[in-house]
Amino acid sequence: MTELDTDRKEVSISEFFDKNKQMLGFDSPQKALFMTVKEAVDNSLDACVDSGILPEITVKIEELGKEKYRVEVTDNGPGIKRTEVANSFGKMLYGSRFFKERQTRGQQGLGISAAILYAQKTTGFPTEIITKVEGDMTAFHFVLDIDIKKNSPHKISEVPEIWDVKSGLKIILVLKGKYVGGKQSVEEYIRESAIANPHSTFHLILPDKRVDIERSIEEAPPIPIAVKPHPHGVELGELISILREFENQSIEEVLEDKFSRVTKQTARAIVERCKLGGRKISKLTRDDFEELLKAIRETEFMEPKKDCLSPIGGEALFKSAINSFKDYHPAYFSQAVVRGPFVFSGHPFLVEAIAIYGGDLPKEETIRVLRFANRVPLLYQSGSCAITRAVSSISWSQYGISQPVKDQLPIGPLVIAVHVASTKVPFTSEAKEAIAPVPEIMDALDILLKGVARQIKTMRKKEAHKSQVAEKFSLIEQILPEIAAKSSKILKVEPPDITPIISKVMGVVAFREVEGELFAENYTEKTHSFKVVLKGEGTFTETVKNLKPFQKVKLKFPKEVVSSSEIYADLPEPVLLGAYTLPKVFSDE
Amino acid sequence: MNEKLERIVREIYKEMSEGKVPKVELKSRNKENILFDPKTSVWKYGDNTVKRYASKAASAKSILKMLYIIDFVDEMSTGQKTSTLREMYYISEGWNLGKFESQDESDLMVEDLEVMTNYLREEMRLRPEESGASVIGNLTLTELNRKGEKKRINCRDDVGDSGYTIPYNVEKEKVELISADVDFVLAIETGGMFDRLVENRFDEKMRALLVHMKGQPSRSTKRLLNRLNREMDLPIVVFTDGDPWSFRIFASVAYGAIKTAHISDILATPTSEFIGITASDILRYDLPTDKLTEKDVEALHAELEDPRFNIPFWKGEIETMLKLGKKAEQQALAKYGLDFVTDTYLPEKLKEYGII
Repeated sequence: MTELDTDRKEVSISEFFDKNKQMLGFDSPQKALFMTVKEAVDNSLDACVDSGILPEITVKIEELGKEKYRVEVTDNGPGIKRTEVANSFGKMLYGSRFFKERQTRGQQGLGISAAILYAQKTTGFPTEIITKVEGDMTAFHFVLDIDIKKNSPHKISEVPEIWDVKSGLKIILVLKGKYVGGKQSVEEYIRESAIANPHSTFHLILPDKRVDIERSIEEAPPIPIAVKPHPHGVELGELISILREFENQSIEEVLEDKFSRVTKQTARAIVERCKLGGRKISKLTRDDFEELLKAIRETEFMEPKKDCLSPIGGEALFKSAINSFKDYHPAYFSQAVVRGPFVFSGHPFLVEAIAIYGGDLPKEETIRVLRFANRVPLLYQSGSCAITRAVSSISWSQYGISQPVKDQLPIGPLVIAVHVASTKVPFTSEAKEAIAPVPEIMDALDILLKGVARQIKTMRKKEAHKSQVAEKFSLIEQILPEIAAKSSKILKVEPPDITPIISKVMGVVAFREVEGELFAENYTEKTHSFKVVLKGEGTFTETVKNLKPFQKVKLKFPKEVVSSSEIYADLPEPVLLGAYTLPKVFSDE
Repeated sequence: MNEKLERIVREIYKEMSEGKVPKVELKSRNKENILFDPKTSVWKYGDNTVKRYASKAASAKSILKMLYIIDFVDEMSTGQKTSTLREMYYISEGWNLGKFESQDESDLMVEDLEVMTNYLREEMRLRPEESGASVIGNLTLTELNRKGEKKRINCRDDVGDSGYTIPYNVEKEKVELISADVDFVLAIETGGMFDRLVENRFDEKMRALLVHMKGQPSRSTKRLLNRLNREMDLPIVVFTDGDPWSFRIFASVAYGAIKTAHISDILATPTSEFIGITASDILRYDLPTDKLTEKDVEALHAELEDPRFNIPFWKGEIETMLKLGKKAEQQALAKYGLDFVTDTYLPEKLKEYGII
C-alpha cells in the first residue's frame, strides 16, 4: 500500500500531484472525467445525508473541444457558508478524520481539491462554485483556483447572485477529459449510485443523451453516528497522532477517553503490561509506541459498537433494484439480504446483497457484479476485489447457474449487487477501488451470497410451477371459452356451458400467485382440507379447511414470503398444481 | 358450409355440450404410420389415428386454430375469394389465441384438415405462394376464369413460348381436359432444358406435351400429370438432372411424398417412367460431370433404403452413381451441340423405353 507522503512539506503540491496521479485516479483523460464527476457527486450525497435532505443531483457534461469538457454538478444540499468555501474546496489535505470513525463515503485521495487542481493544470480554467445556504438572501458565485506554491486556495472573485432555491451547491470545472460509455463510465457510476442511494434523484445530461433516475424511496437514511475508534482497529501512526494531540494527559487517560470500549481498569492494565506507567507522552519513543500497540493488541475488549452503520436496507435496496432494472423486465428479484454487523480488526462492518435474474439480461455473458463500499459504486479493479472473489468462489452450478470455470464468475442473465458498509472499509490501495479480501469479510460475503444464490434457485424452480399454472389457467380461462364461442358461432347456436369441462381438465387444487398474493383454488370434484407450507428463508404454515369445488381462498402469507419460497401442500401429486407435495418429514412437524 | 368441415365443428360442439373434453381425431401423421402400398405403388397412411384432446393448452389451441381456419374457409367461399397459405397465416394475426406461430404451423394444420376430411386444400380455396408450372403442346382444355367463364385454351396454339401456366387448382370444376393430340407427356425439371425443347419444337416433332416442373413439382403440377395419365391415357416420362435429388423428384411424381400421403391416390402417377439423366447415361454419352458431394452420397445411400427405389433398375443406377462418384446436369448434353438432346438423346431413349 502506498502511503500519502504528507510530511515532506518542501515538495510542491503540484509535484506531489504529478507523483501520485495514478493513485489519485487522474492518470488518463477518461478516468479524470470520471473522477471529477465522482468526487463532486459523492460530496453532494454526503452533504445531503448530513443535513437530512433528499438529494436531487444534476450532472451536466459538455464537450468544449477535443478532449476538453465542462462538468457541472448541481445539488439541493445544504450549501457551504461563504466563509468556508475557499478552504473546503481549495485546500489540499484539509481536515482529519483520525479521532472519530463513522461510515462515510470518504474521500478518494485528495477529493474534490484534486479535481480542481487537475482542471487548473490541464486547461488553465479556475473552478466556479455557486452556493446558497438556507436563510441567505442570495447565493454566492465564487471563482477560485489553487495557489500551487502555497498549497492554499486562491479566490479570484466572489459575487452575490440570485439563485431561486432554498439551498444548494453548483460546481463547474473545465478539464481535459475523454467521454466514454460502458462499464466504467460516468453514466454507469450515476446509475449504480442510484442503486446504492435509493433516496436520491439524478439527472444526467451527457453529450449524447439524457438520463433521469427518480428516487425509489422517500426517506432519507439516518445520519451515521460517529464513534470513537476501537483499540483493535488502530494503526501505529494513528496511535502516535492521537496520543501526541493530548500529550498533557496521561497515557491511561487518553486511552480511556479517546477510544471506545476502554475502561479505567483496562487502560491501567495496558500501561502496566508494556511497562509505560507514569511516562509522559511527549517523552515516548517510537519503540515505546510499538510496545504500547502490542499491549493493546494483546488485551481483550468488548466488540465495537455496531449501531453506527447504516445499511441501504432490505426494502430500499429491493425498490431501487426494481427501479434500476425495470427496463430489463427481469423474471425476478431476490429479496435484499442484510447480514451483520460483524467485526474485523476492531471495525464494525455489514454486508448486503440483492440478485436480479432473467428477463432481457444477457444469457450468454458473464454475470454482472455491482460492487459498493459505503454506498459508493466501485467500477475499477474488479478482479482484486473481495466482492468479486466471493462471488466467484461460490460453486454456482449447485444453484443452477452455469459456471464453466471454477472460481470464476458464472455465466447467465444474473446481476448481483453487493454492498459492504463499515466505519473503515479495508481498501486494497489508496485509490479505494477494491475491497481487500479480509477473512472476516470474505466469510460474511460467502454466507450472504449463498443465501442470495439459494433464493435464485428457489425462484427458478417456482418459475416452472408458475408456467404450468399459467398454462392451465389460460386453458380454462381463455382457450376453452374461445373454442366454445367459436364453434357455436360457426354453427349459429348458443355457446355450451363449459363448467363441467373445467373440473375435468383441471382436476387439481391449484396454487396461483396473483400480484404477490397466493391463492388456493379447488378444481376437483371433492372438498379438500390441507396444510400449506412455504419454505424459503424460513418456514411458514397455514391450514385450509373444507375448500369446496370451485372455491377459492386467499392464503395469508406476506408477499415477500410468497415470492421467495417454495410452496408445499399435503395433497397428493396428481391433484396438485403449482406446488410440491409436502414431504413426510415436514408434514409430521 | 362444406359438410365435412361442418362435421368437425359439430362434433366439438356436441362433446362440449355433453360436458366432455372436446377432441379432434385424425390419421396419425408420423413416419411409422406412412406405408408404401405395393399394390398401388404409392405412399399411404396406415390405420393408426391420434386424438387431440383439449385438456392440454397446446392441443386445445390447435383445436381453436382449426375452428378459425374452418370459419375462414367458409367466409371465403361465401365471398367467392381465395387466399394463399401465406395470406391466411398473416390473417391469423387477428385470431387472438388462434394466431399461428409460423407459416409452417398453419400449412401443416391445413394438411391436417385435408387428412381429416379428404377435402383438398385447393377446394378449401387455399393456394400455395409460387405460381404453377407451364405446359406446351397440343392439349386443349377449358379453365374457369375469374369472370366465371369457361375459357377454351389450346396449349400449343393459344399460348406464347412460355406456355400455359398451370393454376393452383386443377380439379375438374376449374380445369376440364378436352382433347390431346400427343403421344406422351415429357415432364422436365429445369427451365433451361424446357426452353431448349420448346425452341427446337420438340413438342411438334415428337408429338409430345412438354411440362416444366420447376424443380420439385407443386401439388397442382403433379395433379395435372396424374389427370393426363388417367383421363387421357398418356404415358408420363420424367426428364431431370442426373443426381440423387432429381431421382427424388421422379419418385414424388411417381409414388407420392410422405407429406401428401393422404392424397397420394390423386397426386401420384405410378406408371411414370424415368428417362434420364441416369448414371449409365453419364458413361454411355461420356457426359461432363461434377463430383458427388458428401450430402449427395448420403442421399444416395438413403435412397437405397427407400422402398420407392426398391427395384432392380434403381438399385443398379444408384449403385453405379455411387461407384462413379459423379453426377451430371441435363444441360451437360449440350456438349454435343444444341440439337443433340432433341435429335439424338431423347429419340434414342424414348425408343428404348417403347414410348415411340
